[in-house]
Amino acid sequence: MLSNLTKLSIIKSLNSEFLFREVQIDTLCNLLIEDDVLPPCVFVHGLPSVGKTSLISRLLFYIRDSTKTSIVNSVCCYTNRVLFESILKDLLQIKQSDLPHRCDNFMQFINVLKQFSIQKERVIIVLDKCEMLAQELIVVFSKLQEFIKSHQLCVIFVSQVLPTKFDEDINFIPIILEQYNSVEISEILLIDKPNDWSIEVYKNFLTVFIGSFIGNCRDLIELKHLAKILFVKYVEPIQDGSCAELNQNFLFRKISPTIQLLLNNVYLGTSLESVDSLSDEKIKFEKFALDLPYYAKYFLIAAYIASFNSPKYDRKLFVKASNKRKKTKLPKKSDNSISELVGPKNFSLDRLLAIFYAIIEENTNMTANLLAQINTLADLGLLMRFGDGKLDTPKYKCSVSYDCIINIARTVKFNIDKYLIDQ
Amino acid sequence: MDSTVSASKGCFVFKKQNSEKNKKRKSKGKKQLKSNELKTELWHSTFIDIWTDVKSKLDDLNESIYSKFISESVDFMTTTNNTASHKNIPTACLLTGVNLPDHESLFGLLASSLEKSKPPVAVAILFSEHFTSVKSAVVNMVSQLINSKDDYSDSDEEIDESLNQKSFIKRSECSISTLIDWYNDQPIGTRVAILVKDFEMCQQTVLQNFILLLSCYIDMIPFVLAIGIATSISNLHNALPHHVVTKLKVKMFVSEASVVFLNNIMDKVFLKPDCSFYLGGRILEYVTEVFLYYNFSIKQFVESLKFCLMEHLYLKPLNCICVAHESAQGDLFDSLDEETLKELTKLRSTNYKLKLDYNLKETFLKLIKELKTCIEDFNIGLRILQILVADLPNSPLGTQLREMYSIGMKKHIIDDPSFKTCLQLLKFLSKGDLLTKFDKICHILKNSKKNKRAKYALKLVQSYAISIEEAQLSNVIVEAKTQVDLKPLENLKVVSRSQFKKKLIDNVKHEDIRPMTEFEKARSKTLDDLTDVILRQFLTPPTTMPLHELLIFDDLPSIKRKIIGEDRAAQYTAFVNPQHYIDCDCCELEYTEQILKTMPDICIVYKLHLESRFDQINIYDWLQKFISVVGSDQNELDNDNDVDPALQARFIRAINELQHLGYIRKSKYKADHMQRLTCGSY
Repeated sequence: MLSNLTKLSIIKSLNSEFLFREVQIDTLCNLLIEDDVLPPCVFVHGLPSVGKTSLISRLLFYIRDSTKTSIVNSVCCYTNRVLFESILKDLLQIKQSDLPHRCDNFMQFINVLKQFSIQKERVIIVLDKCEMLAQELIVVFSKLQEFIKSHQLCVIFVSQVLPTKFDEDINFIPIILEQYNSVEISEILLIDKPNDWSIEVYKNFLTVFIGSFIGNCRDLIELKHLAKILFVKYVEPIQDGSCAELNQNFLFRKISPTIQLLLNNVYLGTSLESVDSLSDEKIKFEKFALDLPYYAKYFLIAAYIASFNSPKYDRKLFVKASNKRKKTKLPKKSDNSISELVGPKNFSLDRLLAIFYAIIEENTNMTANLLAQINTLADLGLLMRFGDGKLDTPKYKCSVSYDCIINIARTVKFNIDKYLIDQ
Repeated sequence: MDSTVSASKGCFVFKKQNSEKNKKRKSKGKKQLKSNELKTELWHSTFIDIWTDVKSKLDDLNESIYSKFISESVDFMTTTNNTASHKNIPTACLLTGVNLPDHESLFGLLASSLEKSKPPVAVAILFSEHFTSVKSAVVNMVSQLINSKDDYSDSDEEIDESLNQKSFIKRSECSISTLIDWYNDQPIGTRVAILVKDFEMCQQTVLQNFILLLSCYIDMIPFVLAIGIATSISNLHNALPHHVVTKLKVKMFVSEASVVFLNNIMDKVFLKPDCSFYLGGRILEYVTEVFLYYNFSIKQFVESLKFCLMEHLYLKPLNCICVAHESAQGDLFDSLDEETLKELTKLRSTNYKLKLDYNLKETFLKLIKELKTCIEDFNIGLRILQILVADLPNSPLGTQLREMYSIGMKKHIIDDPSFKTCLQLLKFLSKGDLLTKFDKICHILKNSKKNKRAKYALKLVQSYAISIEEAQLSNVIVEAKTQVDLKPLENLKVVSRSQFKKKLIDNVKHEDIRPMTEFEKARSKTLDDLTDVILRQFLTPPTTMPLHELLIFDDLPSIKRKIIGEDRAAQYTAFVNPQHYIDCDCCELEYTEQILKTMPDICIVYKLHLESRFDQINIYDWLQKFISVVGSDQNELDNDNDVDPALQARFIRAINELQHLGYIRKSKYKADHMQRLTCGSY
């Protein structure tokens, strides 16, 4: 039996841990920490990193004595069996080997639950990232209370996907966690203040930091990570002694290049040590990407031409004997041409080979290795393959950008602009 | 099953192969091979000797080149501590280049060095095939990790298998929870490394879920990831969504470009005098071209050289004798039969001067010895040449040893026009540069002390170096007449443009005869001497020596088709001229278009379909034509509507074969038509 006092104290401590979540904490606690009946199904929704899972798991941690709980991340449950057995292991507190039998489907799952007379206890099952589960499973889990015939069982779905996207058949109590606004974020980030710096300095830093990053990124985890990296850079001038602690303008001028750099690399899992080398490494890697065999380069160029030119120009472009080419002026490629905006078009293998042989200067036989190059390019993701590629003639699309192809063409001294036509 | 849809409807049975049956079959196969073991023939033992030698060198080289890359990534994977608060998986992104066939060995190397490292690391390598579903990825990972220690024992002996099966965990029971149980038995501090070989080919959604799954268990098992990316790092960021990337702590490692490997392999293994397999210029050019133009694959490069070696030695006892040790050569030569000796006299390079007499053995051995010294000299000469010309602007002779080798093997490199431009460029070098070059040359010559010629050359080069060092930069040798210079400058004003041009050229010429300094004179003299006295001797192409065919493999036409298959060309020949492959007497062609009754059905059908002018072919007409070719003469008298069912069946069968080869397909527009997929005829 939980007294009202403990409930209040749980609410209080949760509120101190999770700022700006008073309403949701209140509802959750009222629903879950009540004496007799639990709701059959609760749906917690919120965008990434607003504290859904951590809030729920913290709450369950507080009531772990009175309630049997199981938190399952649906990503980990690649088969039904894994899902059921991990829930059972949590609820019954047994080992894998102690399970009475395999648990492959929902009926077996319910049987095992009944067998261990779960009805007599308070049970909460949390299905995190439930959008990964099959639709049927979500429906049956939402009705688990009926199947078990117990009023003390609750299933909590946690998802980034809106509850309305799921089947309307589910009766759930929605709990929405909104995204934090910039003021709230700065409050939350302030908790992470490094100990050896005064609150003034950190607040100044946060205004600069949030001002520049809030437009790009609202993900709290990412922001925390970035703030950590950036703050070290930010306080460098102060540590040198070249600047007073509160000279904001100076500090901002010093830090803004790094901010610019990081802004382009939000979400890339950038680590602290690589910040400085990031920009030049990028250039290096772009170059590395172009390190293709000679014929593969020509194949890619041919594929680009085939993708972005309409076949009706092929004769004019590639038939060397025809004099028409000089007479009729072909529209030349300009920046951001229409074809580029529309995206690459399909082309057949034959057309690719024909263009390849038209643009390549050397005489090469069509060997197995040469044809294998096309598949290699497709495997590398530079070409997209369509069709089953068996009896039907396969179709391809070129998936590299104009800048990339220009670089490749430059390395083989091939003027690709001459062959691109703006329709 | 899509793959078996064809013009004729039928049902196809796909039998599942029993894994146990398979095993038995495999083991039987092994035994058969063993019992049938190649008799220790001369060519085979020679081949094995040479190849093991080369192979061990290659492996050493491979490790030494990769060592930096591997040790860095191993370092990262064993030392980065995953802070619990972040729950990130440390991930090494290995940018490995586009040479896909080589990646397997690279990852094998990485895995073996990870296993050796401390604290212990358990390794699982996942390929793109494993990423068909999250389940299969997990099962493969877990079974690799848990069953890894039994691996080497059960591969050897069948008796062990029964014992091992008990400790062997069934694939169906491989799940993360068993992994956790297993991990708790491991020594503390063990890491679990998962290597994903080919990122681009994996199904991205599966990979994403797999990463998310790993990150769920990072608290319990310290996972480390290594992802092999063939193109560029931006590919990783494009393919993985934000919520996955934030689970990773990425660090990039770039492996050496594969061209570096090629150069190293050539310089340090094949183009060395102690390698007993000598490549001709054309072959070398061809295989490097295959490498640079087609696939960047070291593995294929090495395999094709291996093939060359095999081709060079196979059933050619003379070639084997040449590479044998000197003491054994005499005995081996005595064991030759008359036929091969006759062959020896027919070799072109000897100018047919060898005769079948009692002197033959002696002259043969002498010539081989001479040839070998010539090759040795050639190798020294090449290295000298490389020092001289490799860093010249525009590098007229190339920068790599292999490039010079293939030029030098074909003809005397001194007579090559690009060598002359090199010489001209060399004459512009400063004193310091020239002296360092001479220094390096001396170093090479000192290293090859056994060679008589090298000793002599060393003295010469040293004397050159001294003469250059002593030459003064500023001392002008007064020979030219200074008065001549002033004259043409006055006459610059001329009427026509052509005259003006002429004058200008004259002026330039006059400037050329400007007085040379002492150093300049010494420079041009030493360089001329160096080419004439040393390089000309050293760089004599071994291909001009008698008997060179026996030692240097340069038979390009015989291996060209075998290294790179030309499947389409081969199919075409098979269709048009089946006699080429089946060697029958009946199908001799007088002209290519000829269709003979005796040909295989598919050839006839193929030739008939080439006659069609349109790409839509009526099957009935086709059949009639076929019958007119194949059918007996009586048939023509019969009613046309009655088609011999046997002939019809043959025809349909041939058409199906053609369809499976991809030459035709069912027309989309007309029911009784086939569409031709190839263009052009004959």
